[in-house]
Amino acid sequence: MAGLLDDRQAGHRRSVIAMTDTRPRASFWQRFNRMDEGRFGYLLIAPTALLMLVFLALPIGYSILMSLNRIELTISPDWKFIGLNNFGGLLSDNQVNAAIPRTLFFAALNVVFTTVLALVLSIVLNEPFKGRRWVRVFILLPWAVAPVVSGVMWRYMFHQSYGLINAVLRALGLIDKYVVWFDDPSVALSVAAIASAWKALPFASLILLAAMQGIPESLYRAAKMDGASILHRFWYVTFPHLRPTVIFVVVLQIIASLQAFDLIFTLTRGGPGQGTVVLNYLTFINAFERLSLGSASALALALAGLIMVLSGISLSLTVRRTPKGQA
Amino acid sequence: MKVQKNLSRRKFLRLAGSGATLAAVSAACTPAATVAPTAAKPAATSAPAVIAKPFAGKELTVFAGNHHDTNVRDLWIPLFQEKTGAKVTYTSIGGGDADAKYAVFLASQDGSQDVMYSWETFTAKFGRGLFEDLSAFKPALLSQLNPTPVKALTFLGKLYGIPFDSNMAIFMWNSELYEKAGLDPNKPPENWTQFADYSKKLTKDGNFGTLFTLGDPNSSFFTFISIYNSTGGSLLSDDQKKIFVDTPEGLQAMEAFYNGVVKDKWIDPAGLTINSSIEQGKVFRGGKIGHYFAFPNHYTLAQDATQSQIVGKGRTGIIPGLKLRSASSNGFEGYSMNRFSKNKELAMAWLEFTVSPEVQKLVAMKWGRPPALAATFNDAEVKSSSPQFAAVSEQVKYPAARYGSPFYFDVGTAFNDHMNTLLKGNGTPKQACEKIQADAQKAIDAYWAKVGG
Repeated sequence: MAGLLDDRQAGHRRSVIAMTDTRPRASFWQRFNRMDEGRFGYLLIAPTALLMLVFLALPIGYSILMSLNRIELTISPDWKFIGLNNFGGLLSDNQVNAAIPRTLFFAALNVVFTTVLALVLSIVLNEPFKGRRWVRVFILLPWAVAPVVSGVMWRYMFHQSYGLINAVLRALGLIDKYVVWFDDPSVALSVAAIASAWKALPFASLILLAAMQGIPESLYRAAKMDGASILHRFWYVTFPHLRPTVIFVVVLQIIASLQAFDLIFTLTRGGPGQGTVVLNYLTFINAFERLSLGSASALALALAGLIMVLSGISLSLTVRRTPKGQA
Repeated sequence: MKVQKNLSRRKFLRLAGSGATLAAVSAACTPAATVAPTAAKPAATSAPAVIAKPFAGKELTVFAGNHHDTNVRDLWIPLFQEKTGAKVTYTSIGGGDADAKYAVFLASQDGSQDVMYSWETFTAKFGRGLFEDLSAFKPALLSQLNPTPVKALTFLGKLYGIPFDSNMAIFMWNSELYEKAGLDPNKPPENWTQFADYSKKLTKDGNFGTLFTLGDPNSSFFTFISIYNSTGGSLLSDDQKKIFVDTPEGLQAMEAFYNGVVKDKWIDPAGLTINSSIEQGKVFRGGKIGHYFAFPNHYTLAQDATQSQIVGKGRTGIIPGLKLRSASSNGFEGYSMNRFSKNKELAMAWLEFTVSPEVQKLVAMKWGRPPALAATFNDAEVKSSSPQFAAVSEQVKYPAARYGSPFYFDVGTAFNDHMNTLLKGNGTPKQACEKIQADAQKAIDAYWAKVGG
């Protein structure tokens, strides 16, 4: 009873204080400015988190849901739950089995072209020469080109009738008649890999260049004093320090290769035959040509899983091989 | 340093927020960019005009392939707006990309487009899910249309599109190149053997006698059936459950093609990377090939000096056949109604409009396509302005099946894969037929299993 009375008295006191408190109420901006750092941090990431939820988390969740259903839009818009059957079907799908080696071939070419050329380019750009600053800006241009534009550009460059490549080769006397480049799957995939590497080259070069500039000059001086040649200095000084960055570039290119779609769509449309249909392109075919949204979702998720596994393996190798103090 | 202290991140955030709010308020206060001219007109019109324009103030959305732009968008739509008072919003897309877009419409049950262009495979593939059943479409009007395209847009007994043309491939040759090759410029080949002989003579100076499209599943399949149909065989059973490629007829067609590309080399191998008849037509209009299987409107384009280097040199006839005198493959197109549309009355008015005599004359005379309305096909003015229709009149007497189906892509893929391998010189025509038979039948079986399952 006494407690109840105390509570009532306390409530009365609060009301009296509220009625007699003449201090102005804190404005929105004052409360906003007094907000603690934790809440302010959440506020800052809220727009991005919302965008990620709407455009990433929800579609992924929806895709998982679709992958567990049979959705054949040529028959009806209805869904039928079939559990993991769509994933099981991938293993016996001839087109998936045919697309895997193509994808790996494309990825291997893309990784080799990009990494080797980026390494060479970064070594060149690390050396002092007149106009180096302009060259560094100039090599960034391919990076700014949209993949679709890049695909169309390369398609016309390799066009059998009025392509630049044929014209140049003929002018140099290397061919006597125009070559139909895209009628051979291996050549078409190689051209796709070249186009992909051309676009990725600036980014890869800059990353390697940045890593190269972090190598202490004293190591080169010491190597020189020990009589090391240019090749020896590269192999025993430069490369060990670049290795983690090179692995990083390789990982990025593997991921980019497995995700390849827009470039191939504009360059070859999967042809000749199914010669350049890589896994991601096959996902598009299953979804938008065959209208099998369930199996397309399953393939997309399997591909995402494969990318995560490969990335995980590559990154663990990076961490393991990184010299102490550089991780 | 002082400036940095004054501009705290919170102040920056506040400023940015205020800027964004100001921009939003300013955008909201800006008056609407345009007012449709047709929307303002009805207020000033008298009562009879309102009756003449029954859809004044309404809006129709039309979705088409971009090859419709210069005709549907520029010629038909102004006429439709004038007649109905409706405002038409036209959207077009590359024909090869329409499949993907329709899949999105279907998956999302999107009714934003009231009418959509279609052809045999679209009506078979999207009919049951996306298109309205038009079987009850004005019987009197339907009976006036050429029955073959109407049948082509029918799938499993339901009509999913109204054709606006009777388009099918005919034969076109360059009279100048014929003369230069020592051939009679007014006498086209009458069978495949002659076609091969003529082509060999036309193959010189780095140019080939002819070109077929083989760059993707659709074009490979189309090319094969253009030749196969003239064997007199039927590639698909009537119930669309069996395919017949590994047959004497299939082998005859495959060998004819193989000889032209690989053995005797008078068919341009560049066709392996070309997937569009539009590109094929450009090669012909550039004077690079002597003859080819062409859609009739290619004649109109060949007469246009802005698009052709062979004006006045194009001639048309019927396609030389392997066993039959001739055969072709159709390219019928029409418009379908979106079953999710909320505007079906106006959509129906559009479908009727596309087969009206006025539009059908535009189809024939401006587009260069054979019309769907039989009466227009026989119109004297149309006949005199479109000499290529004489060839079409003759061509329609022979088979022109396109075999559109829900599994068209997979069957086309089987053709594309194995024909490409064969035409690169790997394997024999017999082996190609066997492999196509196996793969295509597997795809067909898989489809029907899904339907039943």
